[in-house]
Amino acid sequence: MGLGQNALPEGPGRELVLQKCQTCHDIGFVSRERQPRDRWDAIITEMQSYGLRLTNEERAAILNYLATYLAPGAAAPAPASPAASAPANGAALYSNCVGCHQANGAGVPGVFPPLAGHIPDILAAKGGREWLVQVLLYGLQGSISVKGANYNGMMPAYPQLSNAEIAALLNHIATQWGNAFPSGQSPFTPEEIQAQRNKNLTAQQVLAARQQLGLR
Amino acid sequence: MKDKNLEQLEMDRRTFLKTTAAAGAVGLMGSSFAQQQPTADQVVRGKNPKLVVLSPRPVVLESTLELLGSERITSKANLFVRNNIDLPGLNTTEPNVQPGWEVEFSGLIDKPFKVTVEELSRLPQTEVTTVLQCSGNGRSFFNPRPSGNPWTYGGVGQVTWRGVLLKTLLEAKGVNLDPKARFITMNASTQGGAAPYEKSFPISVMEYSSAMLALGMNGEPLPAVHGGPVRLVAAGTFGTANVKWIAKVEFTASESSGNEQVPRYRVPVLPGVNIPILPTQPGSRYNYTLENSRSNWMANINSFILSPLPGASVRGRRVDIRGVAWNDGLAPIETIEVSLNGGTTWRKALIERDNGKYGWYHWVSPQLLAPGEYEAMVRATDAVGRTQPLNGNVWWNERGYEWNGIMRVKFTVT
Repeated sequence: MGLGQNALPEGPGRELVLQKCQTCHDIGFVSRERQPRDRWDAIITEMQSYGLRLTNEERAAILNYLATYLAPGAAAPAPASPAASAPANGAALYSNCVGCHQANGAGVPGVFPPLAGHIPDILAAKGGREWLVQVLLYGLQGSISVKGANYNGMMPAYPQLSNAEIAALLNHIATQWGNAFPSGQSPFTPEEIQAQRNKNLTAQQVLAARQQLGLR
Repeated sequence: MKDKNLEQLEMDRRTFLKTTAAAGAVGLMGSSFAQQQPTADQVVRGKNPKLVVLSPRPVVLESTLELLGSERITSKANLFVRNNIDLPGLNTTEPNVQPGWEVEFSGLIDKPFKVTVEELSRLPQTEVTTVLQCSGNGRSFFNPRPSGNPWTYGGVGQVTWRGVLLKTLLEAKGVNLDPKARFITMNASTQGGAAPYEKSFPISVMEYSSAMLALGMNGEPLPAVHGGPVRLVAAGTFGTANVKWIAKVEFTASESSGNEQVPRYRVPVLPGVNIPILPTQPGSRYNYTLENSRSNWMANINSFILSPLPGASVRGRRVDIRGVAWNDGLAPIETIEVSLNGGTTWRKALIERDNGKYGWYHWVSPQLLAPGEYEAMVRATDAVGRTQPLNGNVWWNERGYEWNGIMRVKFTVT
């Protein structure tokens, strides 16, 4: 049961569940459960006591999603076609990120930082390319400022993604929503990802490294 | 859940893990791409990649029967992890070196004080070998499946702690307890912006469970992920109140009323009635209060078969069935019995060794078996008659705690 638990079935409210729940914990805590509506209701109440903030509408939408798609007996999402050797697809991999950074890359003001308009600034900074790879491999935790807004959360690490997948994902976010590589820069390569592995950084060291980038 | 399904569940998982390891987990799950889980060594530096990742954040890693049977003392690489809160930077089995780390003592004592890890390390040290177990261990055998981490058998291990008994510390500080103090309420550090974690123990753990501030584990400094530099440990108790990264210890007249104390980590009881867990209708709801339930404190009696492993093929005719048994250490384990016929008859196993009253009793049941299919069952009974239910689901509870149903292992003799 430990594996495959990240798959959250498609359905209305799914994005909201991703956004609200994985701020504090891995989405597997949600997607592996199969509970009746009254139990989900109680679980949401418990999460609210831990500080989850929801409007009444959001709460109803989340409860409906959970009670419908994660009810006792609900099937896990169908596995993908067994295209084991398919090339890494950055747009598909972005579903790891969409819960927080949103489909339009704008993030959630004050909660999750934007990628749109921000990634090119990082790429242009000295050491910025390497730092982006480190964020994916080691996560990021603590207070940062992006375009005048403060964020104090945590970005999980994704060391389980392959070098090719991280490269594809970075190439995707570097070229979406009006983002582009600074002139003279080429797309990320798997070798570039490999070069940052085994540095064994902590999420705090990645935070400290961000301060060296000279971002405004 | 039917016992057949228990077995099947474990076997399915093993097969699945092997398959995914072989295939690099590509294409087996997820809606549109390979959603791989990180391996245990990627989640916590120094862990055995054979541990099962139940969650990468907060860290929940499950050991396996095979790993538990491979060593007398569970190594830091193979020990399970159940974090409720991850402290930033501490997902490693390396020591957490933080000079000047302080633990604050307050509440119903005549002189509140603070003590540093350096001072603790200069006080008389005590070693105790205990079984550390998550109170949710075995949860996935309850039917219907309660909410929570889907532990099978691996949320347990035996480790040797080294530290300063609370009694020793209070004596050294010349501090006296107020008679009104009935609980010890503990808080983990919130450094790095971590959320708070508060739990209470009954004050009896000082007298009966060697409650200590542990600085070491298995002869080394306490690994960061297991609570280093200092953790409150009470031998013979479930892991949940053995608070990691301890920052504050308060002597209180009542239990904490925080979430971690109620409704979490509790089972139904009737106050004043001598039944370990009140049986309730499986799937029903229970409105947990401090009065109608009890905290997961003392470990209930349990026994595991560690060899043969589920689904194994072994050579006959002489087959040694081996395993461990343990309880809360309040009374010795007296009898361990094995049945090969579904519980119709039981034969006493031999207790080969123990590891002190809080540790594992290692047992062996030599059998002469013709080729064929077998199902072994084991149950332990202690000197005061506490034993395990034939059907663990008898005390199904909403959050799936304290499973100790009799274990069944199918194997083949060739």
